[in-house]
Amino acid sequence: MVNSNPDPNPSPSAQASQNQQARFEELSKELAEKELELATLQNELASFETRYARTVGVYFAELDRLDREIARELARLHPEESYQQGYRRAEKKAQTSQEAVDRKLEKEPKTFNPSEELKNLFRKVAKTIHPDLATNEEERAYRTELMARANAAYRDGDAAALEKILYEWEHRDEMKTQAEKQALELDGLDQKIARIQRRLAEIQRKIDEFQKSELHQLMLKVKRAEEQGQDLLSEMAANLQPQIRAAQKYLNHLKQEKGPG
Amino acid sequence: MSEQEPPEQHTIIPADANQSIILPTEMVKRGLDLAAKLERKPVVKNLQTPLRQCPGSYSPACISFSKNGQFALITAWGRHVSGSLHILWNAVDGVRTIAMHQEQQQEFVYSAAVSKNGEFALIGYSDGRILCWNIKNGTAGIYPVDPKDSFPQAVTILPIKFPPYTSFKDERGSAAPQKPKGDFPDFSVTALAISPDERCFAECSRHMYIRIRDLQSGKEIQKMMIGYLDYYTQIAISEDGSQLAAARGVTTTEYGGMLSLITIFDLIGKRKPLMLGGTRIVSATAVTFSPDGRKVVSLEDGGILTVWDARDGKELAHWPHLKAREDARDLISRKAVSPNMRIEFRNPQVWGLSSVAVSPDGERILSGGGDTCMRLWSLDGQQLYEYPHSTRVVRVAFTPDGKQALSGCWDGSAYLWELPQ
Repeated sequence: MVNSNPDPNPSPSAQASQNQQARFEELSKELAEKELELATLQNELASFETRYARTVGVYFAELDRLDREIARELARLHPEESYQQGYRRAEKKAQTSQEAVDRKLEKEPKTFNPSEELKNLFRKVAKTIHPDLATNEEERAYRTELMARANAAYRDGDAAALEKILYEWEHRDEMKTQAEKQALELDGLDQKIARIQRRLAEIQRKIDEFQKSELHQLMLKVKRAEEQGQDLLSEMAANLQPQIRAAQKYLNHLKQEKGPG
Repeated sequence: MSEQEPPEQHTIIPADANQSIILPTEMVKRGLDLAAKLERKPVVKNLQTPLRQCPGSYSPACISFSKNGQFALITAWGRHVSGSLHILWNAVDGVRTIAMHQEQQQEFVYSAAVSKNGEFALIGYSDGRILCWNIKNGTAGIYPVDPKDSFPQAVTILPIKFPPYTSFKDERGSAAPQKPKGDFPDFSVTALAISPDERCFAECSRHMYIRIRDLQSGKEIQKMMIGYLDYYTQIAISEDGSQLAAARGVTTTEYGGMLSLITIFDLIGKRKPLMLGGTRIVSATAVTFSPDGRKVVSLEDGGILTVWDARDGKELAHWPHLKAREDARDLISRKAVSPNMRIEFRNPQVWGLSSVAVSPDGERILSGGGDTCMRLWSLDGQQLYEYPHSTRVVRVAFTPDGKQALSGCWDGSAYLWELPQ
């Protein structure tokens, strides 16, 4: 689609379109890079979340469960409204944590560690099929679907799927003539550039949001501790054991007390 | 132009359960707080040379520091060195005063103590006698084993000005002391401590007792039963002289059923001796009081530093002295022991002699031991600094202003370090 033989003495309008073309190239490269960054960050966070849920989250969920049981016993022993409310709150909290942890426990914890080749492949695919480079609605929808598949393939580390997407794209429509394609291209260049810029801004916003999140901070802490040779997650898990034991003891003590009437 | 544009919300990333973050923020927040509490700051190694140093003489060495941070008493530990040479090193001007006690030629030394201002020193021999070396006027006396014979016998001390150091180097080897020949009971004096008012001293002999004796006459003031002791004993007296802590390291597995090896005795009141540890086996090789006498810091086999409350014996904090966590982990997780269980201690011969000290303001802790590093910690276990040495660190101490530290090594060398602020 790119004009590979630029006119050495261009007229002003041709010059402008060449500049546009160069700018478009640059922006689409940046777009591919940013999509890669966003996908990598998301996948890293997701796999860390799983790891955290399996090592530490289960103990927090256990603590919440014990708190709920304790609140239940306290509600049994004291019929006042505040205790009943406390029990309802504890019940809700225990439910949310247990559900979240259960969902995470279903999956295998795989560390997300993409190779350079996978990253390059993803960049290439993103540059080729990004929906913001589409020229009309139909193409946009097709590109969106391909991009979703590309993201899933990157998450699963499936290079073969990425190659397949590229192949599909290149062979999607052999029939259109070169001129038609070119005509469609040049019309949308300004709009495409604008769309790409908007998408870049959005990606940056999302990346910033992820990086500000507590999960990301926790992930950084764990990574830094690993470099020092400290297994922070298992230390945290070990640290919660005494609290769980104390809560269990308190619960046993409460269970033995007789309630009113 | 914008009417024809698709909506801002791109659906590039599908709302897939795999991708979205689903843990409740509250759970992540709790994890973050816990991680902030547990994460260790990177270790800062000291790269500066010590302010002063005294070259190695004996190996292995028994080193003790005076409370004013100026003097170090260096003598051979657990080995026979001809003439029992004792070296007093003045850290301020670097002067070494050496003395040789001629009579006690065949005895081993396991313990020594220097007074606050370096005026006199006590050295405990393996037959139970204690040498008191009055450094000021160069005289010496020996406290007999049986205090009924009261006053110490005067002995000759030869001052030596130009020591041929090379002839005093003894063989290096494992940390196991040579056992003196003789029948049981073994009266070796394994630990000595001078009381803060310098009126009496505490002596820990291998044969089950700690005795408080008057300094002038050697008469026994108080006697406390502590149980079977080994050569890695340390005693500490609190600043106000009201408490005494004794730590015993055990080298064999014959003593199954012991729950704790740090004991705190009340010297003035009537409280019963407090044994620290409870459900955890505490085989400690070093113990010291904090300046206010409310806390006790101990260093155990395998290198775990613990801070205890001196009143009720509760453990306030513990952390490993070493970087490697494997050694420390299984010691921390050890549960309550039934009286019949045999206890195995983690290679105290590697850990052996070690030492802890608390700064005068009570905020920092120094610890040194078998891993040849002296480490500076804050009270809650954050490592602030690390001072590598060439051999294992046998004794550490703060100077009274808390700005410098003294450390003594296994090979008899002593160093004065600058501490970071």
